[in-house]
Amino acid sequence: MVEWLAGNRLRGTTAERPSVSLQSPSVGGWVEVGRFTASGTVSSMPVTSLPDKRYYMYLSHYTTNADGQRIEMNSDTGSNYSWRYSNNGGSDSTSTSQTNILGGYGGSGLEEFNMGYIANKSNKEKLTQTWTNSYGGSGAGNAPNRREIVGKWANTSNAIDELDFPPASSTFQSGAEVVVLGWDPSDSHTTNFWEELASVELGSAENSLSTGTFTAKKYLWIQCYVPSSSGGADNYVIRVGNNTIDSGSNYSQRYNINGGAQGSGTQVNQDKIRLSFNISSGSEWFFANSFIINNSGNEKLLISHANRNSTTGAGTAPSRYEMVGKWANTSNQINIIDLLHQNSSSSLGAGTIIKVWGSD
Amino acid sequence: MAWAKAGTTTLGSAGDTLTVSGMTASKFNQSLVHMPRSGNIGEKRTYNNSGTAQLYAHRRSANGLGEVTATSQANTDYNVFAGFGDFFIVNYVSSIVGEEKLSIEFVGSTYTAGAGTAPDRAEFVAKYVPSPDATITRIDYNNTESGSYDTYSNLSVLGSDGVEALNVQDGAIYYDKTLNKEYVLSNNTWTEL
Repeated sequence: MVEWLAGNRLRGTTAERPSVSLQSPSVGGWVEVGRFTASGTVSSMPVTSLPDKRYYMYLSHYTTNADGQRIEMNSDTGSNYSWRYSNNGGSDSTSTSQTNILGGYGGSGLEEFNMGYIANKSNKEKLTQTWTNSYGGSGAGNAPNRREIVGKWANTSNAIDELDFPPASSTFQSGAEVVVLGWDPSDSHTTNFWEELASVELGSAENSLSTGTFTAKKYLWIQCYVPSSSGGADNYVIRVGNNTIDSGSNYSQRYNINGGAQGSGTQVNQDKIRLSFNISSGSEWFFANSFIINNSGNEKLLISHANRNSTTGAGTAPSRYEMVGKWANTSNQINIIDLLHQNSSSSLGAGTIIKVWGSD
Repeated sequence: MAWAKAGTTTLGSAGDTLTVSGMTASKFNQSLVHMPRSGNIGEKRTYNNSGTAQLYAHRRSANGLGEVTATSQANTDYNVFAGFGDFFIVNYVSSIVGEEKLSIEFVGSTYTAGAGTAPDRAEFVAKYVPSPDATITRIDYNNTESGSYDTYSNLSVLGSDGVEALNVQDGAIYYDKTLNKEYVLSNNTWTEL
């Protein structure tokens, strides 16, 4: 990524050197359309005057002494919502004719990070998908909880123009925030909420790949790709840090492999977060997609999913990994990420990629 | 690089196919699909108009129930629910040259209309193994049931390799880390200092 320096100076690689004086930026990408940040204790987080977008993406983070968030649309408090959810990979539960949609995990005295998507067409029911990381108690000795939720608002006459994220009961603490992004087929903007912060690729097989330091942002979106591996099989993991990687026992996580069929559980006081677990003994390739809330004063909470393979061809199905994790540091933001093969004698293949996007 | 629109299609009338073609390949794509229904609908997705070639495999769980796998398929089949509803699919896929194309996908469905029924959900991981290798430049969703995708059904695709907004003025100095050289920009030309 080209670095912008003072005095009309730039720095980057040969390949990154701009070819013309004014590049035409690409159209589209997620754009911020609304935000609510609590300056004190609040009993709701309304995001109002939303433009009509076909899709919304939202990111929310809060501490609360009460309960997790709900999602309410256009101030409709009638019994016009329903949802389905799973806690920690357990059996689904459903609720119908509700006054809002479940949007967090809940419990008392907690910190939560939620992200999700909404399909919004005025004359159709609105559908939500949400993933939650609820920190599970402070410190790396506690594993976070996770929840997956789909919901609907049965309104078929209006586009969404307001999203409210109230707690199920009581209040959210100062600093609670929700950011709503929009995407629409008619969009022509060239701004983008998600700015590329790091993009690195292994030129030859190595045990690890580092992003190097990047500009810290409050919200991070990370994608990792490992095309192959060599040596003894093991998990693919990340470590994070502020300027230097933290390899202390400051991480914990909750995981689920193939819906629990190949394992599930928690791991606390770890020196890493496992994005995927090894399947067999040979080369394995994977793709992971992760989001992190990255406030310096709060634990860093991660929501991650991965697709991992050990046999080539369409004759074998991939394995799937669902993960929530945390870095229990409460004094710094993440500005460096390492992806590692857990077996220190083994290597990630050439072509391994980490991309980090972020925004405040 | 920046996330950018790779393509989008909205149906002007009810139909059985949603296609985005002619996409510029990116290392990663994100797709958003919203398919309101007119009658009963189902979805099978292909990449690059792959026809009947058996290039697909997937693993999924619907409504948190047991894992199901499908291998050597001609598409990725989303018909996993007992009922029929509007669909909303979120898809992340890698599209790296020379590698299997791996996706992580989430499906929501309204099931029966109204707040008196809960929506359905499904989680997928899938792969596409084109032969010969090809990055993803086309996506098709094809209806498999008797109804149709309703008017305004939409498929939108973002790509990770868009061009960032970058305004470099004449007189700019570029330090090339690869070559350890400096260049000055004048009339759209970089000249070594």
